Amino acid sequence: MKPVKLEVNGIVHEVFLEDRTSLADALRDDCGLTGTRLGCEHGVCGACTVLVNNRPERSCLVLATQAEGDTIGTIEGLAASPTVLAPVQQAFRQAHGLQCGFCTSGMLLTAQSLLDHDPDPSPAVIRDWMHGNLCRCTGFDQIIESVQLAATLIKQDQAREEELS
Amino acid sequence: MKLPPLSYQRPTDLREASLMLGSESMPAVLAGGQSIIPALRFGERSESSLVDISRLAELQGITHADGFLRIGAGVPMWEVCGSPEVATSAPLLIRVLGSVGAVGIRSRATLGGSLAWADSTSQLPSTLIVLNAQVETTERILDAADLQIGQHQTVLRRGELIVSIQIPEVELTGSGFHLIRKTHITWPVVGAVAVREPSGQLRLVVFGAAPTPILAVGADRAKLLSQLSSRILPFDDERARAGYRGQVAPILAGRALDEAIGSNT
Amino acid sequence: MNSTIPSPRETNTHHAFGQPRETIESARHVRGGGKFVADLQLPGMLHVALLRSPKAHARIVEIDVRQARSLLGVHAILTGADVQKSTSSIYTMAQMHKPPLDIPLHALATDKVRHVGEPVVAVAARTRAIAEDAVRLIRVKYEDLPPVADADAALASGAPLVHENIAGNLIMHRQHDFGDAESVFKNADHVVRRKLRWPRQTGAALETFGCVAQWQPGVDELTFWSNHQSNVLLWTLGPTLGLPPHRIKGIACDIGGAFGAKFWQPRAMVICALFSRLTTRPVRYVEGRVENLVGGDNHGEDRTYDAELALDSSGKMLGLRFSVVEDYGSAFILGPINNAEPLAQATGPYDIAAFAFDFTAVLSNKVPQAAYRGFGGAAHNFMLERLVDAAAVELGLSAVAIRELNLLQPEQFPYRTATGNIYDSGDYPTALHRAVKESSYDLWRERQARAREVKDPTRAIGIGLVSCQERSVQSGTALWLMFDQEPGRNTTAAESASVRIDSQGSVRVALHSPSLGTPTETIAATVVAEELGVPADSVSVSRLDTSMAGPAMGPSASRMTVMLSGAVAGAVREVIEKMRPLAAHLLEANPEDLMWDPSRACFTIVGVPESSATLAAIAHLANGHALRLPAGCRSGLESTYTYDHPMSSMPHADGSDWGNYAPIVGHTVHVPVVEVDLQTGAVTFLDYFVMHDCGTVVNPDAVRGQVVGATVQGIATALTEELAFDEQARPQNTDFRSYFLPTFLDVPAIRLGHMETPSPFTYRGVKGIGEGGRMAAPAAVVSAIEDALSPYGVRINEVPVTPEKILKWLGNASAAQ
Ligand SMILES: Cc1cc2nc3c(=O)[nH]c(=O)nc-3n(C[C@H](O)[C@@H](O)[C@H](O)COP(=O)(O)OP(=O)(O)OC[C@H]3O[C@@H](n4cnc5c(N)ncnc54)[C@H](O)[C@@H]3O)c2cc1C
Ligand code: FES
Ligand code: FES
Repeated sequence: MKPVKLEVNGIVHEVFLEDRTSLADALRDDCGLTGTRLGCEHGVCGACTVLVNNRPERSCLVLATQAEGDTIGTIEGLAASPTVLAPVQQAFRQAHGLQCGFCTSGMLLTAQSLLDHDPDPSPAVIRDWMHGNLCRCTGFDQIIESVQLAATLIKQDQAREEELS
Repeated sequence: MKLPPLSYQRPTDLREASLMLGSESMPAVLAGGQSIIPALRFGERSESSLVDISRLAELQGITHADGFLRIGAGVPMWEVCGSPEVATSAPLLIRVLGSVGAVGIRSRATLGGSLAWADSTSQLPSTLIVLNAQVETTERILDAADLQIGQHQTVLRRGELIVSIQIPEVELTGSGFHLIRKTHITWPVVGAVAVREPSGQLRLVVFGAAPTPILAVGADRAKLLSQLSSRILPFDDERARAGYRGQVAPILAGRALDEAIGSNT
Repeated sequence: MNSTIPSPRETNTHHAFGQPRETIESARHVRGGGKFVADLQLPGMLHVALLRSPKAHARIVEIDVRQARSLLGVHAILTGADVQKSTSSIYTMAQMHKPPLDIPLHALATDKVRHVGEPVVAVAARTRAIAEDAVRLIRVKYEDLPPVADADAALASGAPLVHENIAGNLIMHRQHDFGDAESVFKNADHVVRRKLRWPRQTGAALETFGCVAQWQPGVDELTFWSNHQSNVLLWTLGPTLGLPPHRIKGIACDIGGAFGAKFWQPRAMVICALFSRLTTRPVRYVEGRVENLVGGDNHGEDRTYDAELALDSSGKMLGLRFSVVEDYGSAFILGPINNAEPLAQATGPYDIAAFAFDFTAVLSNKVPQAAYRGFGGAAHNFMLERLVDAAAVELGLSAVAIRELNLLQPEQFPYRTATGNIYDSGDYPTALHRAVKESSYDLWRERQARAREVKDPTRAIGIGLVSCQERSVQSGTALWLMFDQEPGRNTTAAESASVRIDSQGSVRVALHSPSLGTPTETIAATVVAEELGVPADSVSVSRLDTSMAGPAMGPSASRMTVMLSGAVAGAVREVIEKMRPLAAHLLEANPEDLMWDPSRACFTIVGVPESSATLAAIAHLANGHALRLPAGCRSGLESTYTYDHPMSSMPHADGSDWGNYAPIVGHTVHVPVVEVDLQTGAVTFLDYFVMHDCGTVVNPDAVRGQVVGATVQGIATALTEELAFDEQARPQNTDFRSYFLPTFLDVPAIRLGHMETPSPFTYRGVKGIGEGGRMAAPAAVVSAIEDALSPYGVRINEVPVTPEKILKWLGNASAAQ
């Protein structure tokens, strides 16, 4: 066991871990952030996706100790505060981009990384970017529409901000 | 399914990395971790210590040098895909990378790791071979085609690290890439990648049809395909049987060649 | 229902149904705030890892746990011997047979292992990682026994026995003839026949199964947190653990998808319970993905059909019969349900008078079957639609024409099928015609004809069309068909709900059973909104644990929307009746002169809408103002309502009529268009259209999600998913690198057409919708591929249709020419 400092959602957690502990387990068991889900623990499903330095990564395939010094973002930090939702979260609710919710954390973070990259993705681009995240419930169509809606919501927010400034 | 107990070390430079890798405990190299971590979890690999090379400065960077595009072995595929240098010098590599795993895997997985992992069904080593790339290691420079000698087997010695991949900056007059897969998040079953050089010379590499990539070079499409057919040595795995691989490999090879001959990228 | 509110069949105004609505559940899930079983952190909790058998069939000679026991952090270890000492065999349906079938199931293997992945030793340790380390230190010596790898091997003479007291590995053999199929077949002009194979698949919900057990010494009470989808399992654990059932409390966690595959996971629950009794700590087990796929007691149907359809010379269907051999694996957990349940819709949407079957259930050295979305209905529909396609080809009819000729007509409802199950309502010809039109079926046919003229040797277009039933709202009676049994076992599987209105007029609903990842909370709130008129998003919904829950089976076989809305509406209506005298008191009116107005959430005097008593005013009075209450009234405003199955009926003792056990029947037409690469066997979709009818729609987005999600699962059933076994009964698809779930890039966008034929028997006409997509898509996709390959004479009689098989069939076809 050794001390590891993890910066998650802007807060530094000091946790004591074995070297073998995955980032996913450290987040869930030691940082109290259980929104990161484990669906396979071998890299296929994407449920464990978190943002590491703003890139989507599978937290089941990263050792926690490797993430020291990185900036980690989890589902719990996606919205600016607990009382609001990020546009992508709002969009997934509105457009029914989820059923059981188990893939949702990973799905939202991957979607966010896509929208950071491409503010106006086509359905084909969404399918390609998101395809490392499996969903067993929705059949994907409503997720694609959710991501498109999120793009629209973000643009509306930006327009509103520009108007104000 | 948790990892078995293991120790983790992160060297600060290549020299320290080599020392660590030479140690008694016979550590494994950890680059992007997208293959080695699952393998350790499944007990398919049994090393109990890891040396993390993912932050070594010597393995980073994408640069032009002496007519080569040099890509650090530790550069995540994500960065390769987003690199303007690669987009101009080796667009085929970006196209192929787009078919590897998914963004959330490419964000960490490295070209060096892919070469060293040496999976017979991977599209990446084959692409580097078709591009006539050279592999710079801590000990030597190899043709990409000489690296892999079997399924998950390379000529790399213990402690020898891949440092960079060097792709000659030649203007190609065509390229083609075709593969078959079960789903888009599992590895390819079988596939082919081909390029046409300005001289009219064709280079074809087929993967998933033998324990190592099959390279064929020549100007004549038919001759290339017949060269290929004698070297197909297909195998069974959980995604397909040997018979299927053997049957489809020449088809995909033909399509990759046709695309390379017909296209001008 | 004793209520004077206008019944839905009198007024058709919906206040809340059919409107788009964000789900209650999504508010927590988009924040990562769902509480799944693996998220539970209890002080002192121990974690379980299981040593599972690497062998399909072997005697356990010796187990050495000494090294494991001495590992730091290990608290307790259990073997089969310990389990046998402290529990009786897990209660499965084999025990409910009369006389009981001697197919015991213990939480850990006792004398021998019967399938790869069978739990042999359990370790409880401070962390899961330590428990797994300990498992690696355990040594088990096995003595190999010859394995029974499939049904043929099981039935071969001299086959090794899976359970010593089940001779010939034959669990049961039943024959039934409804409507004299034998003579119908003898006299028919045409008989088409197909032999079909359907291998195992599984729900593979993204969340695996898990549970936490907490034993409380002194009170002798056991609490389970878990993500299994039905209360039924908890009711059966008492006898196994030697506890009175009321000492077992089940708390449902959020559930990350189930699809039937979390219906029956008793083994780990027993293990956790024993560990908790041993250590007095909370004990958790969560399946790893490999454990889920290999040993999770969740595999779906595994069968071969030899099936025939009799027709007259015009193409009119006269009779259906088949013999089916089902490989149930090494236990008979849910009895013959995967074969009984589909018989609710045995003859599909067609008017077929005669039906007969011959059913054989066998044991093998595979993990026991349980359920996967459709309870065997996907395979059954596949069988029937393959026969219909075959008949069309044989008689020179188009796929559309043969269905037009045989579909039930709207005036035939309610329609009594050959087995006795009723179809409540439907309009199948309209569904077919709309599907043909809206899918552009004729345009696709033209495009196919043009493509065929060109004779491209590299690819072919195929158009599939199937019309399928989606029976829903299972009554428990389905479980007992084909069974010799104690009378009185026929549970009709009720569902309960509680509604309470507090002094502020706020409404709370308590559900009495788990979810399966569908928005049951939202449905409950929507029903409250529909009945009472308060906004759905103002309703608070919680779940009772089983200690106080009423009769409530929970979600399975697409029953939940119907059963839950019946229960919630019943409770709301009772609460409204409790409010009536209070409202009359406030308005100084006669109770009989009042009516509830859901558009304003108040009681009004009939004909005097301006004099009203609001919900808030009544609620205030009702909650603790006894001195102001009218005579005969008590404080409190709540009701618990148990909704019985709307039209379940008893099977006839002589077996001639199996009664009603899934009479609320939806309908769907699927039209996929595929392109097959003739050189590689790859299949891609050019289009996918689904016409569906699930009665009244409560929440259109949720319905769409169910239809599309299930259709995509069905596409994977048709193309990629399979749990195969080798000749040693070793599973070949053990993780997500070899069990091929579809991704965003592997499936098409699904176009939908909606119809609403309300059920005359349910609350507001709703029907179930959870399984239809998967019950139709496999048949549809295979139909499309066969259509593409029809110029080559290829006939497809199995799933999954892999590229490899396509090339093989094309090769065989060209070799035969
Ligand atoms: C779900 C999933 C899907 C995937 N799909 C594909 C696919 O379609 N095609 C494909 O090609 N790959 C696929 N991959 C694999 C992925 O591309 C990588 O895992 C990769 O190939 C290995 O790179 P890495 O950086 O992750 O290496 P690691 O996993 O860190 O290491 C792999 C091996 O290489 C050695 N190694 C790493 N770097 C070096 C070096 N510089 N010098 C010497 N030895 C080194 C290590 O010792 C180890 O044995 C997939 C992975 C996952 C999880
Ligand atoms: S849990 Fe990490 S990819 Fe599935
Ligand atoms: S919503 Fe259940 S897995 Fe995606």
